[in-house]
Amino acid sequence: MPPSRDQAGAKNATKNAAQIEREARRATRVEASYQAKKRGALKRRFTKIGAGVAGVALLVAAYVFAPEFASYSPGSEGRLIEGVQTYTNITGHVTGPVTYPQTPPAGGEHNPAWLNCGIYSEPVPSVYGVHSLEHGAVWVTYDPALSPTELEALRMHLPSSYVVMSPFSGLPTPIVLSAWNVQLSVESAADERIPLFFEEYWRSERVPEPGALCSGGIDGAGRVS
Amino acid sequence: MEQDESPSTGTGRGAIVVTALVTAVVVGAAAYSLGRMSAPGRPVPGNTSAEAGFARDMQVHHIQGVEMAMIIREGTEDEGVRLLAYDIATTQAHQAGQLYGWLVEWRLRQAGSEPPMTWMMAPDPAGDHTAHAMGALMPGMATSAQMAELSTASGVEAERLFLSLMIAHHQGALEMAEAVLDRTNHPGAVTFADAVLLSQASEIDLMTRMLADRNE
Repeated sequence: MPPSRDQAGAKNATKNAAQIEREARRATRVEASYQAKKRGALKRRFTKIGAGVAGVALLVAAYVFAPEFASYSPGSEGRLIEGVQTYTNITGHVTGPVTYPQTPPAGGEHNPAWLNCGIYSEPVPSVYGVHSLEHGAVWVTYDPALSPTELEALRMHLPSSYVVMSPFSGLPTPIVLSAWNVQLSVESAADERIPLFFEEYWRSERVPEPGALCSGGIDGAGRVS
Repeated sequence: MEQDESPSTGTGRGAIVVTALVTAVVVGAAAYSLGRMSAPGRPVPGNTSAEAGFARDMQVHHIQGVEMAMIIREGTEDEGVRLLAYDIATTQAHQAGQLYGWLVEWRLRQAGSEPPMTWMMAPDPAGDHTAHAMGALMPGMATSAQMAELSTASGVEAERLFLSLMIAHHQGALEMAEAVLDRTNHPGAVTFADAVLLSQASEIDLMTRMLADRNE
């Protein structure tokens, strides 16, 4: 005899109730294990983040705590001043005349005697001037037609030694500063690159004979000081 | 769930705070030693430091000393003066090279970004010496007129001139050496300045006697 609809319904209901309870228990277990897993994952994640933060903090703090290195701004390590030309002239002593590839010369073969550093009112022989560049001097050349005001302003830039200043015909610009294998052409004495050029290249260690004297050589004509 | 965790929350937070603090201290200590060990033994003098200023200005000073010594060595026959000149020229050329080398090693240029002698104008920390006056000449330097006079003089006259110029020159060096000692504890600079004080003071005595002999 088949069960009545009511009986079947009750049985079904009982079964359903039991099933629901089982499912609920399972869901709780699943949820609990899920939460546990989640907590574990969270913990691992926090550990990873913590280690990461500690690592970054270590690097940052190590950098901050490292003793400061020499501070140096203008010109600076290999940073070129805008407009400075560099050359690869050779060196050597010759007694005859030399044709220089740059005007004015910025290095190359030269006379065994060097030009005494100083201010000259007349052009100086390049074969001597180039030898002074080899000793670390800066050679400041100017157009002979440069105004006295500009000339005076230019003189204000000069250090007390290791500098030759002289008029030079045929310059590309009114004023040209040369050191061994480097050169800067400027239009006026007010150009702010002039002090930077001196700071970067005056008595540079990148000359063939750094520290050799710029006196005890020969004087050109018209030495003013 | 919420109830599950709430009792442990207090201890959890405490543990986190302690862990964070310990980690911070450990990281700090490790970073400090790492930073110190990975960098050069001591910080290098900067571009406007007294050490760099001294290295630059003392070179200018010494190089003029070399020039004066070379001039008199060619300008006199007196063996005593020629020998002294040789001694001064080689010593001062060597010392100028040492100073040049410091600047190279410190990655600084031979020319400073400030006018010469600026480092000596800064008040000295101990306050027992007066600072160098603005615009004043470097102490003891001979003028270009005096240099020209020395070049053209000869005999005892040249020797007298050389000795009096060099005495003043050495006294200027003493002043600069004392000025840097007031402003530095850099071992190289201290050793150098001490050597200048010792040797140039004794040479001043010698030259004073030699000058007196020539004034009799």
